[in-house]
Amino acid sequence: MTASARKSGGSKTSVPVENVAHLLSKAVGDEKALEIVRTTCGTLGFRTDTALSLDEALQVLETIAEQAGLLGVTARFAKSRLHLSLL
Amino acid sequence: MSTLIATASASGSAAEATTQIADRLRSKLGDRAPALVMVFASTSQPLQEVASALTQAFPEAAVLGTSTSGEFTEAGDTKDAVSAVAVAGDFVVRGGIGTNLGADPDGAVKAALEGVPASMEGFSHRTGLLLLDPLSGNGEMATLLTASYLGEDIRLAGGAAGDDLGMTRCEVSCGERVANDAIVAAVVYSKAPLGVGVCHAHFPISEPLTVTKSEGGTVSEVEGRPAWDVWAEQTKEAAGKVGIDPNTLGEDEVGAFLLRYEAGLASGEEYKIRAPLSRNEDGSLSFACGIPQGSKIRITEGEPAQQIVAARTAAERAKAQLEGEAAGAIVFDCICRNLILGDTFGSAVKGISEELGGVPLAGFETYGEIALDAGDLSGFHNTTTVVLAFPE
Repeated sequence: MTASARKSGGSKTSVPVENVAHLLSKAVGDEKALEIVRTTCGTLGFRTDTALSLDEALQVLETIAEQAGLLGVTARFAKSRLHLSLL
Repeated sequence: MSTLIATASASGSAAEATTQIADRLRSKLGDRAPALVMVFASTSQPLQEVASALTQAFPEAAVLGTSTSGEFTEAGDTKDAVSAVAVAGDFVVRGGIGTNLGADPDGAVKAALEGVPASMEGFSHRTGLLLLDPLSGNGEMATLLTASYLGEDIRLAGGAAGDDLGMTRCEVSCGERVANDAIVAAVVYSKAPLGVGVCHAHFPISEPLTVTKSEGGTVSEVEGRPAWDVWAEQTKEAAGKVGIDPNTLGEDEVGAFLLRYEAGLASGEEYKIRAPLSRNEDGSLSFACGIPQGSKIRITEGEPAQQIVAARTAAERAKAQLEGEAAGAIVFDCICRNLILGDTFGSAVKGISEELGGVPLAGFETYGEIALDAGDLSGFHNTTTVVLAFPE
């Protein structure tokens, strides 16, 4: 578990980076979605060679959701879908 | 109370067409009062006249409307005409209209949903119904925002208005209020679930191409070159097989051409199709929804036989969501399918009716379709057939 997930005492559920990207792929396609998620993980200091914790995945989507336009709206929508599917 | 679906189609002036449609619907409905009337009008019958007349003819119903690129009922498809469907039964429908969809999609969606209650006592199911102007470039964003505001459990169906391939003004209506750059959002409250099915049959004909310059729904450059140049180059071989040379198209032919060769975003094993609607003077292409810069797209096309199969599959999927038999349906069908199928388009419409048990249906040819089920991550589609089936 990463420092961030430990700090938040987060869920033990893990989410592969590819799965987080898939939540955005209908808006931007697989390739761009994976690039955005990896870049955002890097910015947040999360490793991408292992699965993200649920808290980390939600933080990634929350960060992307701050962007204006379709990508931001899709990330906001994906965040609520991820919550529902895993909680 | 059983469901009764009445459909009608008529041509002539707006006044003539709406008089005939109101009479035919009333005749089929008998003493039943419709909860919903949807009207699909070509650009030959101004939507303002059509919507006003039918709203006055059916004051008991929510009357929603859109301009089209073709209209149909189970009896066949038309151009330059009006078709309509009336739904009577255990349903309540509430909706509204929001404008300024291009500049402020959030505000437009909120305005449209302002008078829509979260629930309706005695009606345990809700289905969202959307009509929007695709020229706003915010089809997907508006759909996701609507789903967010209506709640996670809602199913959405709908279509993006057309304008007979003019690509200049697409209108939607709620009651007597008609607008372009607008969205109509309504909720059908029902005692049994409605079914929503969607399917497309497009496949890629190009290698992955990177969108190197875009803003909102406007794609300026692909692979560092003007988007149109890349489109013409990549589609030349496939278009040649059906007798089209993209380099010699007249301005009035470009819209129809682009609707045959749409963009596909890879999403797992599927392709999410995005429709370019028009070519701009600088060679950029305007899409019905946002295409973020950096996206990888494939140009796609559809094959006629598979288009008919896809329509039946959409109907089958919609029927599977009902708890019993279907009483009828409203269908949102991409104009590209008509362009591909030509004279055989009518058989695709008949196939939908047959798949649902030979029921009445009405719909229109769209510039985009809306279908979102609980759990889906996207709700705005292109090249698809969307079937909204009503339970008996």
